[in-house]
Amino acid sequence: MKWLMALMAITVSSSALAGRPQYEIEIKNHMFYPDRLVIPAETKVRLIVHNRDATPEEFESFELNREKVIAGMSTTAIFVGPLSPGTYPFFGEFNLETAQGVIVAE
Amino acid sequence: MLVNTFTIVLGETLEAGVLGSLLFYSCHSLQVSRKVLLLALLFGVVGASFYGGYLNEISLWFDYTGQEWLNGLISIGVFLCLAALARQLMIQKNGRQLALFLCSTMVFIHEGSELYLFYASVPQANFWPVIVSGAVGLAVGVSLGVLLYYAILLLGNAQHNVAWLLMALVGSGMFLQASQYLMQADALPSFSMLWNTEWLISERSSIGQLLTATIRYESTPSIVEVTCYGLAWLVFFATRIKGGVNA
Repeated sequence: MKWLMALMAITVSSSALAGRPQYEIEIKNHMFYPDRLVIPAETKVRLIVHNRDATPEEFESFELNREKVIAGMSTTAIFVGPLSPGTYPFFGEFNLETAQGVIVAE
Repeated sequence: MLVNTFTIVLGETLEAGVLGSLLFYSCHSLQVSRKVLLLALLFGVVGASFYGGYLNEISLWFDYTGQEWLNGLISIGVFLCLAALARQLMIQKNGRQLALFLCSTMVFIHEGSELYLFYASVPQANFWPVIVSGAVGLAVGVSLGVLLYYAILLLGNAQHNVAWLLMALVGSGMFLQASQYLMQADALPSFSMLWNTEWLISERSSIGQLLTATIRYESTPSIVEVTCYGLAWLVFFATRIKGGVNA
């Protein structure tokens, strides 16, 4: 178990040292703010997602190959990219009608 | 909301249904008591409740990547247990319960935690309609699992090979999923997609969602995902070769 914890710590440290550009998104009233986020193409970025609602939400995107549940009133991080220039939709799986957004890589 | 509930619950129970049919078949073929599955269900429900209940704390681990690490480890665990079960099936190593128990428990935690969180997100006003449409999704997923179990039993001499094939498909998909979690946590490198089969089967289509839920279909995989998927298949092939079974 110790080797596993050490591996995780090294990986997390190397990730932090890589100094990824960071972008923030909020979930409020089951909607994403902003619902259009522009990031640099061909660059891995760290997306910080704040869920301001009391209920959980699942950040999901087929185009980004990402899926993560975010507990109510909490914050999490999701690494995205590197992406070719283009538009990549994402949504909140638990509130499909309202929670929609796009990431634009340019 | 209700269609969405049906889709979410069906997506989770479909994967559990396919895995459940393979676990039941393993019980039958390896002469292991089904009580092992009941015990695993109990542990799985408790584990899923803990996971759902402590999701916020888990997410904070390792600089907000705890959820990816835990999901990744569970997916790798299911893959390894399925490979162990496939090998036991191939060499008819009867009476072994550990791989079956661990695999079942991890499957219940894996699928159950998302359902727990989904139901935790349902507003009070929609609670009962969502419960009912979720129950329909659950019934469809379980029914398909039961049908698959009896379909495998009807195959006679081919049943071991078909069960092995399904285990390899689902297990390799689990390993692919683990690689995706680790890429999401920035623990594995991400690269551009190798190919795009959205034109053929879109992940948004019904077939795409069915394939994603059961065998982790990925229309835009990167080289890391393809490599992990290929390695997982090699492990499953090894379960046959070393078992010395006549195919």
